[in-house]
Amino acid sequence: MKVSYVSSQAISQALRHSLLRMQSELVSGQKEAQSGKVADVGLALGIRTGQAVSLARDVGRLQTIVDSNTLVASRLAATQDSLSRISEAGSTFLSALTAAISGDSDPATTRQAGRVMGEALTGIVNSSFNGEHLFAGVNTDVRPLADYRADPPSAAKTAFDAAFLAHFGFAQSDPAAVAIDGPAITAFLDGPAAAEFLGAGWETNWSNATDRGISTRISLNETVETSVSANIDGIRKLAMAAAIVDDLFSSALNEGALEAVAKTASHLVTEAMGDIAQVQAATGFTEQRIENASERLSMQVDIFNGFLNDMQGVDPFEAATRVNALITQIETSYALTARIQQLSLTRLLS
Amino acid sequence: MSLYGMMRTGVSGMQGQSNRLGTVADNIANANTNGYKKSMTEFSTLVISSGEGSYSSGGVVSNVRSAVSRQGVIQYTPSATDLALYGNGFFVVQDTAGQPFLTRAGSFVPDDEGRLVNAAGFYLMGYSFENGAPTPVSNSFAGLEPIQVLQQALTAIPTTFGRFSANLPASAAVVPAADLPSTNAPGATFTNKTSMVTYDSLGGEVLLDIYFSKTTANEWEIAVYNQADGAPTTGFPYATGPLATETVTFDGTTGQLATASAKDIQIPIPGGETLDLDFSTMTQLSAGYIPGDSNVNGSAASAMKEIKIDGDGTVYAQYENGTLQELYRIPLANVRSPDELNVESGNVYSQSTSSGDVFLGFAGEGGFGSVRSGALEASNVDIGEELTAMIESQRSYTANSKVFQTGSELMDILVNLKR
Amino acid sequence: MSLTTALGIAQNALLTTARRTSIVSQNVTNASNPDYSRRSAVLSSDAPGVRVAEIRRAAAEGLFWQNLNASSSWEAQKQLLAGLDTLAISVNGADNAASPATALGRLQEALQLYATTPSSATVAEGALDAGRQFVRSLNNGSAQIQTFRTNMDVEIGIAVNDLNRLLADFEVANKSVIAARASGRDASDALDQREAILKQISDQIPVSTFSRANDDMVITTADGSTLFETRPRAVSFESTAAYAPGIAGKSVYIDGIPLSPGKNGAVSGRLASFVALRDEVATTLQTQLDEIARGAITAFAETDRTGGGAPPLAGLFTWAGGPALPPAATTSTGLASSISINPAFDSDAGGNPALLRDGGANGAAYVANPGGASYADLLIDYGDRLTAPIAFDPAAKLATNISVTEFSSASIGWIEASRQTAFNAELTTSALKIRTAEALSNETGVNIDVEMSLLLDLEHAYEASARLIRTVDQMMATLLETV
Repeated sequence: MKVSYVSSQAISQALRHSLLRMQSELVSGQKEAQSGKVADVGLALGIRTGQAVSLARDVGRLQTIVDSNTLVASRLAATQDSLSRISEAGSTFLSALTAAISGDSDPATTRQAGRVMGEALTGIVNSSFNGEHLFAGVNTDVRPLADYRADPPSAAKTAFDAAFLAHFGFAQSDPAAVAIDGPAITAFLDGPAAAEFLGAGWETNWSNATDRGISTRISLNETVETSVSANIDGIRKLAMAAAIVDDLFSSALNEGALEAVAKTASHLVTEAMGDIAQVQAATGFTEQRIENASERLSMQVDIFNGFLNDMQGVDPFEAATRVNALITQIETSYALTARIQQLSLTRLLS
Repeated sequence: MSLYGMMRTGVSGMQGQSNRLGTVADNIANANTNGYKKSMTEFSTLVISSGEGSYSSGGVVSNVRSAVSRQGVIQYTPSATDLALYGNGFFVVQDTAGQPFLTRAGSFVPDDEGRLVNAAGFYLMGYSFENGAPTPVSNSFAGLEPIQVLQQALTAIPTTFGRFSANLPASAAVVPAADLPSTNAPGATFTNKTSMVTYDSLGGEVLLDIYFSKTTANEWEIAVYNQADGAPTTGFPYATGPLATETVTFDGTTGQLATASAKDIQIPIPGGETLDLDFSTMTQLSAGYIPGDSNVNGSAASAMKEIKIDGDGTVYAQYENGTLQELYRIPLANVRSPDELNVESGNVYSQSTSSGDVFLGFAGEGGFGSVRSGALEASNVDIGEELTAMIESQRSYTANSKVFQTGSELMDILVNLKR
Repeated sequence: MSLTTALGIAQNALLTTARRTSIVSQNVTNASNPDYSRRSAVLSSDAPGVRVAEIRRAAAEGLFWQNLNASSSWEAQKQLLAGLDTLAISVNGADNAASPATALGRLQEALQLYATTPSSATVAEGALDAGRQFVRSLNNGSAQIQTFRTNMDVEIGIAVNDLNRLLADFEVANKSVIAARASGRDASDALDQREAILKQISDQIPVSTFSRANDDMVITTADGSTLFETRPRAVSFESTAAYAPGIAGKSVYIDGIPLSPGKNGAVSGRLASFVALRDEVATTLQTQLDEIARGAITAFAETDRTGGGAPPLAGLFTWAGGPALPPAATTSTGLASSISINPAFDSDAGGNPALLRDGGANGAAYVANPGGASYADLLIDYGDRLTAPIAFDPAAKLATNISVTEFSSASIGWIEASRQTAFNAELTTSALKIRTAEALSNETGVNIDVEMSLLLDLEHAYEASARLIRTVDQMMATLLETV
């Protein structure tokens, strides 16, 4: 049998080092049991800490996008609502026009319908959400449409009057206007007047909105336009219909001409309704996309969180068990130390 | 035959016993004297020729002898200059008058002049190493001088030879010729460097910087500089050029020095001698730079710290830097018959007519014992023995006195015959 | 044999016992001294009696060296870990909320928010603030790194002083060993002292030694520089009072040879670990921060929108060399400390945060917004650029073709990986150190129980000798009575 020598210092030191380790493990075990995360992420993951940080950052970023998507979705909902209201106003106007075409109504009533339409349209298009004009394109800090009937006359009114004067050689209110027949006025409406609304004149005199809408990032790599511009055909056409009815029904035109005006307006309104329905559909589609994106992002957040948890997480029960085991171990080692310290010849010699 | 004769015999017996008691008293008195050898009284008869029918009582002749050759008990002491002899032999000492004696009393201490003197005031003699290792003159005290240890103040030994051994890394990059340490250019580069302490003639430390630089495959340049000349921190450029340079070549297959290569380098140490540095054991293997055993001789000037005496009787001076220097060698002396030596005061002995001639030798050689430093030889007296001898003598004395008393009473009777 | 001889022998026995008792008591006194080696008296019988011929000192050369090496590497790993911990906490760690990676994440989020509501001045201010935080994180990080380097420099200075002092102490201890060995005296105390000093020296720097005549020890460093031969060699170091990016730390010279901090992370000794932290870890981290700064400046650069071919210029973030961009794919040293918010954007400096949305901080040619308060394309573009791969300097020791955001988190990964390595190495080396220390202590240490039992033996021996003396005394008395 080999009897090896053991020094007193080795005996007294033997448990000390392991005790120190156990105590530091106890501290981290406690931390882990409470937080459910590894006590020191860096030490546990090493080089993969970078990944964990990226993941955590991505989670934050995705969450921000989800949040911002909610904002965009509510803007789009407001836009939808506005478009429906425009549509409603359009239908009301259309029935007034139909009455006018059939000669059932008084021109003043029709004109009033036109004015109401115009004002409603201006009102709705100029509506703002969260401080931004919904239909202003990116130019959200400016009202997209000016009031047609403002005093002094708006640029739109002045331009229309000028176009009329240029085409016929006299103003709408001139008695000579009585002579304008249906085809003539139709020609005017389809020509210079249409250019005022459907052509370049719109952006110069009518709308402050930009064609391009607000771009929004709705997922990590998906950008969509999330606003409807006042420059869409539907609004232009409605504005034109409202304007010509409002304007020409109060002029000196004869009945035939007025009927032609009403017919043109009715055409425009009908077309506009179609256009707006299309825009509504597109907006709805965008809303759907955002919803989908948010859903996907939330899923991604969950997955990322899962990854993160896999990387950094610890089972709190396991950690708690470990803490208990460590406590037992430390207690044992205390007891052992005490016993070993008693184990001395000196104690027995005295 | 006469009553007077008988009475005289009794007196002679009493005288003999008082002699013996004298030696016993001496022995008991010197029981604790180091190096003391007990005296013994031996008796021999003195016979007076008698005629027919008559007997003339003789007497007893006492003969005092010393048990010089009997070893005393060795007792250890903390003093290095306490010397004990174990085995045959004597230290050679001399008194203040220069008369040599032999002794085994070795409790020496340096006196004010550094001479080692024992308790009885005798100076220890030895051969000096001043002229090289001494040889004893076997039958004379010639050449002996008192050992003097304090005046060995400072000594310095210049460095003259040394060796250096290291492995130089075989895979090291070649140092461009323009940057070699031998150029002493500022910013010179080297592969490896070491430094060694050497000593100039005055014992001053000269720190040598030794640079090893690979010049081509298997070829290295060794350049040696005096570090004191160097620029701060990096050395180069040194105020003066290299002390020595040498090129060594290694055998590419064995990694040992090539047969034709230089195997040493002669370095003139500034203010000192030329150091012959041997590096024949250097290697060039595929390992790092590993300096191995290296050493140079020489020592700095340093004060003597203490005296050390070896078993063979060599007296060394030990210096503060740990080096030992031989100063003296203590010879041992002996005679054919040590017990016949003349005993003199102070535990010393001198040659007597019957002891034979003194001869000298060194401890441990030729029948001589060994010298123990830090020990003393106690006296070889045994009190018990002395006490028993004393009782014995007392009884003998009483018996002798009874003889005398009887003689005296008989004389009384004889005188009373005539009334 | 005589009574006096018996007395003499008993006397010698007492002397020997006393001597051995003193050794035992010395052993017991030093039982908890880790630098003490057990002594034992070697007895030799001598006519007449017994004497202590030699005091033997327990030694285990192999274990001692293992322990020395283990202690040297442990010391290094401990310091490395501590240094990396400091850097991770103060500059760029996983739990560091102010790390550039986190700040960059915040900036991305703020940009996303701004892109959703580009017309809001408040949100613009928020994005700008996130930018400020990012800049602050880089500036602070860079400053912390330089403070760290200064601290390491101070530590090196202290370690060098310690080393010089220890070498001076070693010279004294070595001299006494030589003296004791040369004169044949007991060198144990001197050896203990010398080994203790050697332990301390090897904590500072790994050493190897060889012995010459009379146990004269020569110390060389692991790479062969002479530390001590007859007398200590100069270990010199010139400290640098303050560090800035790009200022290289001065080397520690041992006998005129610069100390190398060790290859491939095999750092051993405190000194080398301080040098490695100061010159490698901290500077690499600085390079990484510089590269993050460059990545951010490049990502937010404004481009010429007119097609006039004007060079891209610094946007939201600018630097000392602005408005030009720092050269691509290479580190501009100190960028992390000189990066700042472009005053044109900074509302505190009279700038306009909305330039972030519109562009044009560098003149009309750089305006991206055709008009419109809700123009978000540029903001989205910035966001894209932050996640688009660009070329990075390989000197940063990270991937060279990733996005600046990935780069910033890779930087955290780098430091945490270094920490993990150092932690594991610390764990292993400390275990090795403890094991070897235990083994060494078992070989050379004192067991009080053994000493106590020896003491009992000695007590008995002493008693026996005393009894012998008493007996002789009684015998003498009896004899004297009869006289």
